Amino acid sequence: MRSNEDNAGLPPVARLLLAIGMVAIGLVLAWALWSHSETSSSLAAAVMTELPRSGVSNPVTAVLLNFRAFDTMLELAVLLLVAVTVGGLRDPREVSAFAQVKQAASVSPLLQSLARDLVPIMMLTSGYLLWIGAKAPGGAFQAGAVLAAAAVLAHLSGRPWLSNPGDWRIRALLVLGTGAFLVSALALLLVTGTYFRYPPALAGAWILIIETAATLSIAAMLYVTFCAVVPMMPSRR
Amino acid sequence: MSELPGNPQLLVWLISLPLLGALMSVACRKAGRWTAMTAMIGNLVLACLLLAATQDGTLRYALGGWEAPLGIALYADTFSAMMIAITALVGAVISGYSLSYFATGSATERSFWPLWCLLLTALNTLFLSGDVFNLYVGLEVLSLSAVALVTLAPGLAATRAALRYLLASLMGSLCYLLGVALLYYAHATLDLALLADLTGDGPLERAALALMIVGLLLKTALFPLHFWLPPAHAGAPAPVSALLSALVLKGTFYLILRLWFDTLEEAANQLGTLLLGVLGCAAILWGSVQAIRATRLKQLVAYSTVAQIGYLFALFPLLGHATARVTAFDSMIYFIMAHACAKGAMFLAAGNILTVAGHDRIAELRAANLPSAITLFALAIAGISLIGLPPTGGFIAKWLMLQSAFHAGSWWLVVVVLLGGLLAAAYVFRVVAICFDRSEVSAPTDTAPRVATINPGREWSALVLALAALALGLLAAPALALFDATALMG
Repeated sequence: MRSNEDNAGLPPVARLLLAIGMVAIGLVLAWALWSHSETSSSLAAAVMTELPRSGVSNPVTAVLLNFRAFDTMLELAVLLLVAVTVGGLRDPREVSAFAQVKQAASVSPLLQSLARDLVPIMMLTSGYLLWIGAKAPGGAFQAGAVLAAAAVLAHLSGRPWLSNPGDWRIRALLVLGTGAFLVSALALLLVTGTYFRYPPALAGAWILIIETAATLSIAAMLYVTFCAVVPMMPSRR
Repeated sequence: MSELPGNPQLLVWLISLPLLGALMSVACRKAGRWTAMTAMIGNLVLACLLLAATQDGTLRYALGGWEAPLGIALYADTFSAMMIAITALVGAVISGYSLSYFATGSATERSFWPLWCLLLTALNTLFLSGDVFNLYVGLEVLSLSAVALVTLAPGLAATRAALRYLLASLMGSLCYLLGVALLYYAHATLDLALLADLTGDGPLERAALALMIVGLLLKTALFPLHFWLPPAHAGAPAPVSALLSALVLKGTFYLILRLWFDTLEEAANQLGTLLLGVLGCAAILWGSVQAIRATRLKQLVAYSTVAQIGYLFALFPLLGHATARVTAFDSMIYFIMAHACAKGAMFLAAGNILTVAGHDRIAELRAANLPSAITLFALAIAGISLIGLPPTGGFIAKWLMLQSAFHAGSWWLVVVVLLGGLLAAAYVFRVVAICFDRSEVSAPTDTAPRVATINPGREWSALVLALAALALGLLAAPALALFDATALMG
C-alpha cells in the first residue's frame, strides 16, 4: 500500500528534487519554444475571412457557435455531466437541504434587500450579455454565469428559485443546452444536408436561439451544482 | 436515411446517438434505462455499418461544412472502425448486465445510464475525431464520466479512489492540452491530417509529443503511472469496473498510437519507442506479481489489467520495426479486442461472485458460496484468454506477438511474454481453484455465509463476453481481414 501518508507531505529532499525536475522541464519547454524560429501564425486570418458567412460579427462567437460548434456542444455535455453527478438526479434526501435554506432565511435584512435590488439587474445584465455576444465579447457562457449568480444570491437570501432538484422542469433545463446544439445539428443535417451547417441567411437567428437555450441551461447547471454542494452553509451557525 | 450505409454521415450519427441517449435518459428519468438501451443497440448497428463502410476506404466528414484548418473533421479508417465495433459490442453486453445489476428506480441507477451514454459519446468521439483540440474535449468528457461512474459505488473508499483518479486524470489532461497549445503555436492548425504533413522532428514537436504522450500514459495507467487504477477499478460497481478496464483505457491508448505512429511520427524517436516497450514489459511483470499477491478478487482482476496494458506497450518496439510491424499491428488490435472481451467478462463474473458471496476475499471464497456454473464457466474462459492459451483471442494475440518478435529478433520480448503467460496462469488458477474447493471456511467471518441469488441475465452477460473472447480465437482469419494495418502506417 504505497501512499497512505499522502497527507503528511513529501520529505524535503523529495520536494527539492521535484522542484528541480519541474524547473528543468520548464527550461526545456522554454528552449523548445525559443528555438522554434519560424514566424508563428494563427488561424485568426482564416476566421476573419469567413466571418461574414458565419452569421455573427464577433469572431469568438463565430468560432464557438459556428466553426467549432461541435466542441462547444461537448463542452456543454461536460457541464451536464457535472450537474448530473453532483445534483440533478440525486435522492430526495437532498431536498431537505434545500428546505434548510428557507428556515435560515431570516439571517440578514441587508442581504434580503441586496438581493431584491441586485437580482433583477443581474437578470437584465445576463440578457444584455447574451444579446451583445453576436457582435462584441459576451455570449452564452458569460450570460449563464451571471444568471446563475443571480440565482445563487436569491438562494442565499432565502428565496430559492428551486425547491426540488428532481423536478422535471429542472431536468428539462439541464438538457436544454446540449439538446439545443444536438437538435440543431441534426435538424441542419436535414435542412442543409450537412451536420451543423447553418443556412447563411438564417445563421444569425439560429445561433441566437441556441445561445438563449444554452444560457438558461448553463445557469441551471451551475445553480444545481451550487445547491448540491453548498446548501448547508447558511444554517451552519 | 436510406443512403446511410457507406455514407460519411455515419460518423456524426455515431456521436449523436449516444449523446441523444444521454439527454433522453436525463430528461425522462423513469424510462432512462430503456432510452439508453435503445441508444446502445442503435450504436451497435451503426458500428457494424461503419465497419462495412470502411472496408472500401476511409471516411471523412467536415462538420458544419468548414474544411480542416478552420473547422473540425471526423475521420474513420478500419482501425477506428474496429475500435468502435468492439466498444459497441462489449458496451451493449455490459448494458444488458447493468439492467439487472442496479436496483430499478434507485438514484444510482438514474445516474448510471446518462453517465454511461456520455462515456460512450466520448469514446466514439475519441475514435472518430480528427482534431487535437476536439480530442481534448472528448478526453475531458471521457475522464469526468469515468470518475463520476466510480463514485456510484457506496462508501468512502470508492470516493477516495475516484478523487485520486480525478486528480491523475486532470493532470493528464493538462499535459495533453499544453502539448496541443505548443502544436497550435507552431503550426496554426489542430487537424491531425494537416499536422501529420506539417510536423517535423524539431524540439518543439518533440516537446509537444512528450507532453501529450505523458498525459495520455497517465490516463492509460502504464506502469509506473498506474497508481490510481487498482483502487478505482476494484472499488467501482462491477459493470463500471468492466467498462473502465475493457473500454476506457483503450480509448486513450488508441490516441497514443495515433499520435506516435501517425500524426507526430517524425518527432517520435527510437529511444522513446524502446522506453515505452521497456515500461510495458515492467508493467506485465509488476501487474502480474501484484495480481498474484492480491487478497480480493476485484483487486486481482484490476492488477491483471495493469499487466495486460503492458502487452500493448511492449509491442511498441515491434510496431516501430521496419518488417515486423504488420504482424505487430495485427497482434495489437487482437490484444485490444481479446482483452476488452475477457476483462469485461471477468469483472462481470467477479461482480456476480461479490453479490452472491457478499464479499470477494479470495481466501474465504468456497464452491458453496459461489454463483452457478454459468458465471464460473465465464470466469474460466476469460482467464484462459488472459493467460493466452488456445483456442481464445488472447492466444492469437500472443501468437502474433511472438511471431513478430521472432521476426524482429527481439528475444527479450519473447522471454517477457512467456513469463507473463506463466504469471497470468498463476493468478488465474488461484481463482479457478476456488470453484473446486469444497472445504468449509475455517475462520468464522463477520456474517453467516450469505448466499444471495442473482438474476440469470447477469450470469449470461458474463458468459456472452467470455464466449466472444473464445470466438475471437476461432474466427481469427475473418476478424483480421477486417483490419488493414497498412492504413495506420501512413
